Amino acid sequence: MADRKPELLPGTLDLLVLRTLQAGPQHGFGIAREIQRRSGEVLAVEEGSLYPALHRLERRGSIEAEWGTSDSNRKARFYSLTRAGRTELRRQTEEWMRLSGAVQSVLGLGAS
Amino acid sequence: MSARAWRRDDEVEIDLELEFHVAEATDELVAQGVPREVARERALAKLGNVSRIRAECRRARGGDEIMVVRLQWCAIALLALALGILGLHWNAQRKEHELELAYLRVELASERLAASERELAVRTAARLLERVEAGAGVLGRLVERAPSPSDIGPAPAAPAAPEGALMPVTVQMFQLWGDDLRWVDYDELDAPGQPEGSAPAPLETQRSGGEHSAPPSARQSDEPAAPTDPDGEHRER
Repeated sequence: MADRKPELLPGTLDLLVLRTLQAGPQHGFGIAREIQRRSGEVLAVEEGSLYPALHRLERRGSIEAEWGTSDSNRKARFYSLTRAGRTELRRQTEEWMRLSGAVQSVLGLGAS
Repeated sequence: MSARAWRRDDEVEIDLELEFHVAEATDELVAQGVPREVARERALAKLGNVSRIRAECRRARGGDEIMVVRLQWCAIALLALALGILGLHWNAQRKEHELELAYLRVELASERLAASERELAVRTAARLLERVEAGAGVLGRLVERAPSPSDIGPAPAAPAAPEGALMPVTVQMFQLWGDDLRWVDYDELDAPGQPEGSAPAPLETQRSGGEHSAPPSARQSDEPAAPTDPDGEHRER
């Protein structure tokens, strides 16, 4: 039970994907591994939920996709952040900061 | 892009993307020392239900909306087709009813014409019958008024001419004076005492030109008797 990774909070997957793509284009597998690496192997993205989220963000216009070749010389679909996606990333980041701050305040962990 | 082409490309892209993910995860496990066959199974198990993921991806990309739109168009097309078939069927029935009505009208007109012809024939026959009856009445009256041969009597025998004399020409006529029917000699027609203008002029008088002013009896009295009539008398019967 010690190696059990906590699930992502609802609505946070889009924020993490947008933040990951801010560094540059990436395919789905790379996005999942990048989130896992940046979280210190704490957050594990449910892979079955990652790809529907990517297609939903693409439809909204926050990200765009393009087929390319991966480091392993395989054909992969690379996603990149759009201008609307950057705006959406800022909005969701501010919202998350406000929410997390509120939670920390409730928990008495924030600076008062 | 058509809905069918979009669906094909969309599902192909999703399958290629998921296949890439499984291949990368397998390589990652293989690098950790897991046999490739086992690594692929673990990668697939960690990914989850591929069919469900494919369906969620398609729904996330709006494929379901396109499917709904396509189903709507199919429903509209089927409805239009059904309405068209119903319209054709209704039109065919209407034409058939109109044709039956036309046949009935023709039959009715024929019956009326036949009845009119029968009525005309009956009226014509009635008129003809009336005329025949009227004609029969007139004929009956004429028959009643007509004298019988016994009333007329036999024709008088011509007088014997003297030998050597020329055969006297006696013209006898069957003359009807009113209701009296008798035999008369031709010469009697111009005899004095006859109603003036009631007898026709003798042919000889007509042939002689201007001498017809004097009656034959007068000429006979002034002139000597002709050889054919030595007695100088006129016969009257």
